[in-house]
Amino acid sequence: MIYDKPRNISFRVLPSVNSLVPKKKKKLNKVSHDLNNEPIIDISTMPVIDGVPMLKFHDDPDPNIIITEKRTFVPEVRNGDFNIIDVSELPDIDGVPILTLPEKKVEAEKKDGVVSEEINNKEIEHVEVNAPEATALKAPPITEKQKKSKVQKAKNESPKKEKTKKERIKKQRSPGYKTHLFKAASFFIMLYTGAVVAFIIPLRPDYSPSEKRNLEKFPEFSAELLLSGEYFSKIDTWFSDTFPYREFLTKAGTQIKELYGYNSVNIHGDVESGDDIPDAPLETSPTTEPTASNTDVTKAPVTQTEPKTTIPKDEKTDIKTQSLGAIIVAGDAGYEYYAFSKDLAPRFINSVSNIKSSVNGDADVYAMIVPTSIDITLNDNLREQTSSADQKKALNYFNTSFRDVTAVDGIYDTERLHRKEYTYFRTDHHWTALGAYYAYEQFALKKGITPIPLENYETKTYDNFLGTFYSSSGQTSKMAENPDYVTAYLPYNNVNCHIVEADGDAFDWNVVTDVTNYDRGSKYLTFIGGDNAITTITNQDNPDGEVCIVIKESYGNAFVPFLIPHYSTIYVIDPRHYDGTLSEFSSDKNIDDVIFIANISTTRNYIYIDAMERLIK
Amino acid sequence: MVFSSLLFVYAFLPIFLLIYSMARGIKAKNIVLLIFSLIFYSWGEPVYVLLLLFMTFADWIFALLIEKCNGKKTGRKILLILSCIVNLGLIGFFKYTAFFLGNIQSIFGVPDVIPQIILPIGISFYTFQLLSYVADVYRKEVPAQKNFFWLLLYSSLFHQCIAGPIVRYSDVEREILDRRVSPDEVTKGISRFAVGLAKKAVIANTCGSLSDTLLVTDAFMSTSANEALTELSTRSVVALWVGMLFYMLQIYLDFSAYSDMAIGMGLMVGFHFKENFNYPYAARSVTDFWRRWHISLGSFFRDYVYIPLGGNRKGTFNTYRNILIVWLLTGLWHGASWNFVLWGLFFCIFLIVEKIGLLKVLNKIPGIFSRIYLLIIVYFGWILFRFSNFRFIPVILKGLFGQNANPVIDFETKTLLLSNFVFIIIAIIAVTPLVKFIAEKLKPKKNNTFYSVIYHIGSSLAAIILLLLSTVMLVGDSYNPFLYFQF
Repeated sequence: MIYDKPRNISFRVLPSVNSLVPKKKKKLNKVSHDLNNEPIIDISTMPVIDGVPMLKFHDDPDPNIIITEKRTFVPEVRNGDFNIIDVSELPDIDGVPILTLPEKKVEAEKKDGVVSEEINNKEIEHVEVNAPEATALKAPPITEKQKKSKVQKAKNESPKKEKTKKERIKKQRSPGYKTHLFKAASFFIMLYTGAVVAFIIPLRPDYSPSEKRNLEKFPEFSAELLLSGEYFSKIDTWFSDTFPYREFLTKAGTQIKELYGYNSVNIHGDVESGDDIPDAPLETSPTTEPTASNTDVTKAPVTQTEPKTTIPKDEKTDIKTQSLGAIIVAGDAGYEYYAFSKDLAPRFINSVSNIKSSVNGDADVYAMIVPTSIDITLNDNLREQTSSADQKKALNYFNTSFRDVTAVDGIYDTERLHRKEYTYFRTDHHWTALGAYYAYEQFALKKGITPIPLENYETKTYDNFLGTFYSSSGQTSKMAENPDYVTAYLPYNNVNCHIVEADGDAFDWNVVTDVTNYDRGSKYLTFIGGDNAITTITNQDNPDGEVCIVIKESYGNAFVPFLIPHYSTIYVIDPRHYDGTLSEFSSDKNIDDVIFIANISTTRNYIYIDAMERLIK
Repeated sequence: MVFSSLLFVYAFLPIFLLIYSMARGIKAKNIVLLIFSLIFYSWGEPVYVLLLLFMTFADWIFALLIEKCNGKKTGRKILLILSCIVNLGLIGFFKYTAFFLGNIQSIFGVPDVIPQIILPIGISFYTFQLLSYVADVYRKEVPAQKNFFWLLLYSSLFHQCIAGPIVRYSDVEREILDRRVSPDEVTKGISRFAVGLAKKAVIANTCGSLSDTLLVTDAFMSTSANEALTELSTRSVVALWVGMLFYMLQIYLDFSAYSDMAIGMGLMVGFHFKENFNYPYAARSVTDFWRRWHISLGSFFRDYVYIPLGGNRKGTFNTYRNILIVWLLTGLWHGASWNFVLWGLFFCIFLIVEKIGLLKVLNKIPGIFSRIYLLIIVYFGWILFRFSNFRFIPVILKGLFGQNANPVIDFETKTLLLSNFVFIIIAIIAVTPLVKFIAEKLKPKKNNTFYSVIYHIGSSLAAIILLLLSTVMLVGDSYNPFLYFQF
């Protein structure tokens, strides 16, 4: 093309360029449009160098490189701020020059002022991608007007021209375009699928059976919550806590984590080192402070020693579960660590010792502290290596420190003796009814009665029990492959069992309930309806027998049914749910025995001890 | 809201991208971006968003006035100083009051009560961004932004507002009003975001919880320091070494993951943020380390403190004085506590030693030795960083060298190592440039070959897998601490 005199020339600009050429004339060559909506640039306003008009580009925001189908032009900076390109070198189709502008600049070019071959290639790739369909993804899309103009153009142009144009566009978005589109589309499809699923509210669970807790609820709005920032953070928690398919996803997470290493033994949670167990029993004086210890560093408030222990109230099953400390999982069995707490132990001992003085009348008090499975059923080799505190020594300390109490001190040895039997669950922190029976034998020995042989009972077994160890180990697959079962010994007497819940609701229940349809984490609820404020069991076959109170935590549930033949009435109190006092409760009852039964972890559970102190007050 | 929360990934981000891509024209897009950024910030700080608005407004005015004062040197200077007083005064009030009064109290016994001031999220990051903006206008490096909302967009942009990188106004000035995205950058952004998310959700969070298991948790240290101290003193030697190693991995992965996600999301909408980390643990000297660690902070102190103070051009004494000032400030920036100051000084000492001559030696000896040298220093540096209570530092140092009368290794640590050894290897690889190196090698040289198709399908799948993996880890994973709130 020869430009001898200034005139208007029409540029054919690839579609995406339209949006790049600023409509405001300020800095650029004035761009207008002809009838076909093609941009027209008035070359009369262009600077002329050696008689050839030069297209000006402001270096900012316009690109440094002009790309045509045939080659890349690197504009020279000849006029201060402006990059100039020799229009005569532009390729043309039917005498109309074509120019394409790249998407963006590479940072380096601007700095160095030199454009390497490599960058050029890169830039060309950009342009190839820069076809209309690609732009629909993220780049400035084609406007309605442009689409129209395209259609119009297509009509105006002869079929032959149309073909060349199509070919050109096709050629321009070869491999790079497709792969990027594929990549971006596949990711966004995934992201938006996730987003859509996340917003299907009915898919969101409100209860987690494996964790035995209600999941976070969507917060109710209040200005106060909003200003404190809590409203939004609660939405945040709600969103992730009730994420659809939560059970499946958390399980998948555990399975991934099982790939992190060699898992024959695993430890979940933070192991606490605990305090040394004193050799001598606690000094007798209910008000004395904990015996002075040899460590000089620890003198902090007692309530802060166990930040991990919480009792979430569970509305669905109406039990309170206490979260466990660290657990060790060996194969398909879990075991809870035990650590001695020198601050809490004296409080525990004192509240048990004060039971006798709180009960109206001359009752005998029995204390049964039950060891947990880590000291009984865990194999000796592993047990020796763990830092869990020695429960035999701790039990000895407790049993010798109790006052006004008959300590049933043979439990540890008898459980050790029967350790090969099914006395503790593998997937749950409780003992089985069989384990409770051996403790009952020890109790009978102390009380001087003959234990009822196990053969007298009919049994009922509930399969597929996966308890707290299963959930707090993040649902290990080995446990899921080999779940526990719960065997209950059915009372042969005519009994009536009446439950009063913490909130005052009262109803009749069974000593052993059919839990076949309960979720697989809740099978231990078969015994006396789980933990409640007061459970009264009356034995109609023995109306003139003795009366006892059982103060317990959940280990007591499996134990209580064995007492039925020996008493006319058994009152079962769970201090965590009952907010009255023992003296009040027992004032109008003629109590013969009080049995305190709890597992050894209770001795370091400040929530339970707080509740005990309230009860014994 | 943090990037590595399900709410962000499956609600905020998709909704934002949808509306943003529907908006036509740069103005509309910016308005969408601004609104979402303000929502993002308000989510964490529904009240202190006003502080962000105020500081931006103040600096907007200051910059305009500075530009107006063209020619009047003193006028400009006074305005710059006023701007510094406002910015530094506010960050000083919110971040350092309790620290300052605490020190006064321990010396003079007054005041009786130290007010508890809540640190607004991200204040350290956006204050520095605004400061750099005003300083750049003062130096005539950039024109002042006429439109308040576009300046607000810069300071509040959700990509970097609360956890960095500290983006310079000059770097994004042009892109505020003119930015383009191309599919190849979108895909680059996607990969970057997915990598960052997985780095955080899969690796850093696990490193954090393992570190807490082996050492003691922050919560435990702050609620009952005495118990935590006893607990720490019973840890075995290996537990402490590995625990600190996990912390070292966590802090890099966590922080760089946020930068990755910021850079990735920036690319999705056309912003090009500079790299903030360049494999710092592969550095060969402390000097090198600080060129690779939190680059945007280092260059901020270099450009706005060190060089204005005279840099290294005013004699040896002044050079070292300047280095000292920069590192005191760097330490203090990381947290209002003496351990952070000490941490800054710790590095300062090594930087000076290297400047005197060690650096030449380090560059000459085989890389393996200089890298080990660097890793040891950084490792012990993180001890100062992790324990804000000074009483813990001697205990852990003694413990590391077996002086607490504990066994070398205990059963619990052995178990933890066994059940996580694959993870440990993955985490260590993640902090090295190895993955990047392999990815570069695998990149097809020619398009349109069978191999290139396989490669592209593979890389698309990788991003999706990382997203799914992160989702799995984030669901129900209550353990999601956000380390950078205290900065």
